[in-house]
Amino acid sequence: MKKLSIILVVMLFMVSACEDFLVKNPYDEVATELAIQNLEDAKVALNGVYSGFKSASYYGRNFVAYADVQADVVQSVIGYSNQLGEIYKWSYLSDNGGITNAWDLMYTVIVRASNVIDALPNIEGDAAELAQIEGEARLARAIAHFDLVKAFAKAYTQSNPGVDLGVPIVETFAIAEPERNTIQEVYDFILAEAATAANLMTDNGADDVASVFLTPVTAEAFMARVNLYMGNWSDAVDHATNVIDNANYGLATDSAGYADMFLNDVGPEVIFRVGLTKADYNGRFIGYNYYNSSQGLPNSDYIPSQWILDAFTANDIRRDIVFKFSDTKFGWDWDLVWKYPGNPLFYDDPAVTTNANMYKMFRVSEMYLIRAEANAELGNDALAAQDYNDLRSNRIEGYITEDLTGQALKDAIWEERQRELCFEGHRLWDLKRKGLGFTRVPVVHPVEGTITNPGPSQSELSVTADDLRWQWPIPDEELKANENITPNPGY
Amino acid sequence: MKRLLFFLTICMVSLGLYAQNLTISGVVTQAEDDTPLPGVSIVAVGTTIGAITDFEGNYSITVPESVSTLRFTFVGLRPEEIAIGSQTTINVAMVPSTEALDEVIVVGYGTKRRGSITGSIGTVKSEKIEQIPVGSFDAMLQGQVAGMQVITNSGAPGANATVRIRGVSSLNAGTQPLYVMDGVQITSGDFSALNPNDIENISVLKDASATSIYGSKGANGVIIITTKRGRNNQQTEILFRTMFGQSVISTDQFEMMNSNQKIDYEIDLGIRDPNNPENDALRQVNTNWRDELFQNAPLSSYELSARGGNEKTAFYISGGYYYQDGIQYRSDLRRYSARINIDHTASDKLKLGVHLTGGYEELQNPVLASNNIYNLTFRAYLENPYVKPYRDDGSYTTPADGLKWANPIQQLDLNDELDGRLKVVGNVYAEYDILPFLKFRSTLGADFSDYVNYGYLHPESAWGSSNNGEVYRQFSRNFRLTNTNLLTFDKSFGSHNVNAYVGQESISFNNEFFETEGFSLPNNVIKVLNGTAQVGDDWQGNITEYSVLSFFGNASYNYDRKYFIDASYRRDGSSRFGPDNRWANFWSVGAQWDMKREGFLANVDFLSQMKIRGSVGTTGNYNIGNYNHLQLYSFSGAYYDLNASFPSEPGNTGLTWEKVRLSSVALDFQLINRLGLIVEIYEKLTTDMLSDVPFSLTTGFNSGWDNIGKMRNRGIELTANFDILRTSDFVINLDANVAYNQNEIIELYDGKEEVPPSAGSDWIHAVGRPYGSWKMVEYVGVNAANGERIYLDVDGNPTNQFLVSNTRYVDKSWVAPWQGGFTINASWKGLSASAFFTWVQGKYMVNNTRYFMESNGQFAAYGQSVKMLNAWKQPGDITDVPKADFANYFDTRLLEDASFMRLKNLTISYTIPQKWAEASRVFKSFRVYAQGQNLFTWTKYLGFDPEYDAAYELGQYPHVKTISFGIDAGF
Repeated sequence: MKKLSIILVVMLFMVSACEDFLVKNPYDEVATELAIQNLEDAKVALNGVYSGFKSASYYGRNFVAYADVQADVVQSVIGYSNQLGEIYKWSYLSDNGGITNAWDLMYTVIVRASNVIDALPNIEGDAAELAQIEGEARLARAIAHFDLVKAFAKAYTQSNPGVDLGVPIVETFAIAEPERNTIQEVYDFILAEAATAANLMTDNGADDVASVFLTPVTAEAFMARVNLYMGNWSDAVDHATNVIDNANYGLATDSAGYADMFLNDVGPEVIFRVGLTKADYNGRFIGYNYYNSSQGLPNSDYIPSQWILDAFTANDIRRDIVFKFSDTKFGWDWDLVWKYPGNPLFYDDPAVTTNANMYKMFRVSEMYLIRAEANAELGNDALAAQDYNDLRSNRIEGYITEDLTGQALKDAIWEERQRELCFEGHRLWDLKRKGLGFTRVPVVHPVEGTITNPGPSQSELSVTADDLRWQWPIPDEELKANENITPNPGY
Repeated sequence: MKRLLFFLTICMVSLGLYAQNLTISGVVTQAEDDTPLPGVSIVAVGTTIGAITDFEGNYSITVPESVSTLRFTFVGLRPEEIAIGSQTTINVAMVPSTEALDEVIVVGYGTKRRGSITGSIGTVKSEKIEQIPVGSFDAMLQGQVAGMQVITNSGAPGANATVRIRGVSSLNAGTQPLYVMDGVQITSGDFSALNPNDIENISVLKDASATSIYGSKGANGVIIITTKRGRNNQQTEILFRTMFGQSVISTDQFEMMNSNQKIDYEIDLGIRDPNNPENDALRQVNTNWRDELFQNAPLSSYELSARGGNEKTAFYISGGYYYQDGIQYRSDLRRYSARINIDHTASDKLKLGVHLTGGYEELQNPVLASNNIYNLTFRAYLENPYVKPYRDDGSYTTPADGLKWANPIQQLDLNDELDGRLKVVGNVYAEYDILPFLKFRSTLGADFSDYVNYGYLHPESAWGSSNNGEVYRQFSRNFRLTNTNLLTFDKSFGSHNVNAYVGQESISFNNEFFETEGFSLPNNVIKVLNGTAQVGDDWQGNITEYSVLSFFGNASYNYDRKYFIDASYRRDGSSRFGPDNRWANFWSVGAQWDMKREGFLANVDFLSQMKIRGSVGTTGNYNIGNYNHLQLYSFSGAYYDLNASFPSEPGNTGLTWEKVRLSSVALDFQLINRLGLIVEIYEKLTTDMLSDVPFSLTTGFNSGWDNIGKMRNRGIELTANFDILRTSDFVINLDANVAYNQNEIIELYDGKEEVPPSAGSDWIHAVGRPYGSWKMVEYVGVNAANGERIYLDVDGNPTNQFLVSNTRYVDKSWVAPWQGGFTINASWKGLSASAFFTWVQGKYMVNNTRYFMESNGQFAAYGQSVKMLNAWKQPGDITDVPKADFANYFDTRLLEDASFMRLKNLTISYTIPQKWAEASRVFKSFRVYAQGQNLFTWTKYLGFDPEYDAAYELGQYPHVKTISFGIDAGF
């Protein structure tokens, strides 16, 4: 009987202890309400925002590569891996994984940033530091909203922005099913956020050059770009000027500087880059499908179109930095995209890389191009030509100033934009905002006379400016989970 | 607690009843030949007083006067109950058990005689598991039990199986059954480290009456594994077993283009220059990549075991070595295993024991089906026939020679990939008879495994050269501790037989893992982290835990073994839910009526047995992540080598158990002692399904866990056993089982009619349809006029457009509703043969491999099926292959009937007569056998193999056909 009593006592004890026995918390996670309690937590959570940027679905690779692969600057080759294939072929539907992931990651960045912003009022600490954190978070979510509206809605300049649907504006975390705001509302939000951010952040001068964190100068560069996309020419000029006039930044002045910028992801021309390190570059390789020497000879899925190769003159210092002539594993040779040679910080053997570099989201040269384009649109041809010539004099050996006006000037600025920014995630959006279609021209190898890219639907694809697929589909996953969202037509 | 007090009261009352004792002795013999029977257990019915016969069959037992009956039991013989009356000598001649009724069956937390079980339990005996040339015992259960679907996903050595009992009962939470070995819950999926030969029997618990005692873990059924034990007073039996065999690819129904065909095809498509001077040389090459990458694979196994015991102690020990080469180049399994089971009677009242096994396995190149280039099976399709694996000088070819990627043979030769796993499963127990009818048993059990993944990339290999060689290690440790305390009451009052127990169980589980890698190796000799010069890119590590606490009880009562009733209750608490929703109650009630024992059937001679039974009850499921109810921030990220945090779980404080209500009715009868039949119908209704419900992505989350919807499984199961012929020398019998399960999703959430299980899926969770229903664009053929595909639009009209909006349900699911198995056994004297067939019907799978190999030009640069040669070329061509327009979609052209029937095992064996064995003075018994595994497969599926448990099959490691020979020698 005594033993039984002992058993009874033990069992009763266990009943009382059981609630504690059943409490298990994770080791690498903490409860959300405890996650951002002080300044240090806020910084760590802000890094979480940036780590959304670096995702392979976003600035780590796909979102940048898509804007060139989907346009007409590259051609697929026979035997290509079909990576980015649906984008290239314009055959993507609402279930496309890459598009879904881009949407997902952009909102992930937005929600992470919003969590930081919402937590800040309860944190005590240095006011300037807190303001800096808030500014970075606000700018980050403005950038993500801009990318969303750029890809999933009509171009501001090619739509009725007060009526046509943009994307849902999200400012705080909630389990909700939001509707799409109008394009106008989204752009208004973006500009307001960016302006607030610019005021909150502290300018650290030269220390901010080529920063891996967002800075007040980045906010200016971003506002210049957004205003250009909206056709707000004078605002675009003002913001671009704020960057160009900043003495800490400047154009690369020779081919060594230009090459250094793309190899080592540094230099005075770089305003903001998405940071990568040896620990996380893998899989985040914008240049992978353009070159990829990870198994010896390049295994290029996409090679430059003839017209972009022809756009560079022999004395253009960019020609041999943007492209590299090489044998390929397919048995032929061609000029391959070399803007992502693989940062030596990541690779031991420069000849064997997966072509990862940090994405330079804003460069000073783009500011020259924005100001030139905006001034040309405003009829300030002399100012526009000045920027055009300033940029080109740093890019062309033995450059002779060109005296251009009117449409010829606009065309020249547009062509210069393609030369300067090709393969950096601009082409598709530039065509879209300008309301331009395109036709791909198959690459014919000059030596062997063979077509390197198969299938008429791909290599000779023609897309008109009114094609509905310029607006990426609202992802199926979103449509199925959000009853309030309106799909894009055509899918 | 109240129940316990009730028992205590009974104990007190009973104590006063004892007065005088009586000693009874006698001899137990085998009725057939009058030989003495050692090891027979004798129990005074209604008490725990027992005795065991010695080597001469003698026994002696002292019992209180109140005891009126002795029960004699021995495995394989019919139990005898003898009234004592005034006898002091009772001799018993035992006869073989003809009625399955008397078999002792392992059930939840104990054993019961088959005839007294109100639940639905299938059993698999050791003969079905021993010496089968398969590494993981779960894979051997296919076709053995009605209603249990077992699909092995791969022919890789040691591959485990997906097991489903009575259909899929959850949308997102785990659907694997609970595995319990000797009372200890074990992790499914890593069984290949355990020696199947150690298993005595397996019970498969299917209905409420059987499973609800496992409460929250019982929803997917329970598989109870009992290992071999020694027997008291038995001479030690030593058994040596060895087996050798060879495996080859099981089926191969895919014909690829040869070099001539492929080169012509490329020229036709305009992607190869017809005047290329290399063409003629390439036409001569003709590499069959499947021959290069697959091999005939040997198998060998050795095992030595011993079992026996004296009066107090019984033991079973075994040690084994198993080696199985894989048919895929450089894949194999090596296992070393040992077991020790000891049961010791310390005193009249105290029993102690330990059941312990340790197994260490090494799996080389355990690459499973996937679309990556490291998967050799996929490579075997992708590479072109006109490229050689070796150059003329014997060196490996490279991409420069036309390979698509680095030479796979070279990469496997240079690089290492090895999984090592040490698994230990065991328990210690003590059992104390508090009173003759009341005992307490406490068990402490552990399921432990250490896993190390060894990765090595040679500095000169294509895969390793970018980092100048690479060493990778991953370590993972699982440790699950189970403590079970049981108080059991067992007593008969005249014709009223009562058995009851209450128990308490706690489980705590802990996993820790870490991984790391180093780059840059000095040479090709050093293969460990110490030799690397640089830290690699990957380091991770974490700890996860969960715990479960349970209180339960069961009571069963029968009147005269005619009317049976059984009730269970269990209360479970789990750390996987928040404080307000942590606890849940589960229960069941079962009843059985043995009609044959009624007077009105007693004289119906042809009906040897007839019973009806039924049960209703609930079980639960909590097979989700450990922390899904919490709203969390993760710190597992980094930005620019700085710490980064981000929201990782949206959390749901209301999250709670998924519940399953099971009801079933069974009719169990036997005709002229020859034909036994069990027919059972059941319904399983799952509610509050644990589901990862999609969120708007604007929340920053894809989904969050919630309890939603309803799903139902209904089915019928038939189990038959027919003794076709039974003479003294010649026996033929047939065992068969058939099951049909109809699954239906009754409700999802928010009134939604359909939800994809994942983005872009072609199979959909749809209300009113079975789990796994395909919804695809229907492909009907090729337009002879222009070579375009003909699809059906959403209204069923032909169209040449492939649009997601035209997808329709095709009334097919990837989960088969029909399945079964049958065995024919024949024996004549020492010679016996058995053929075991299994089948699955109504399974439709997307052949994702064909997406690549029948790509209409999209993947023309890779190996292609000969079918593509029939592509439409000019108006009027009647063909089922459209023009090669480089377009390629997932439409119903890829959806195939993956039903199959297999001759799973054919064994022919010969056991030499006892006399000869004894005359040898070496052996006590000797058996030789030959067997074939997967000898024949009947299927319409066009890939390597239809046996694959998933919606899409892509580059599956092919199943194997194995022929083996073996010897069992007893000493």
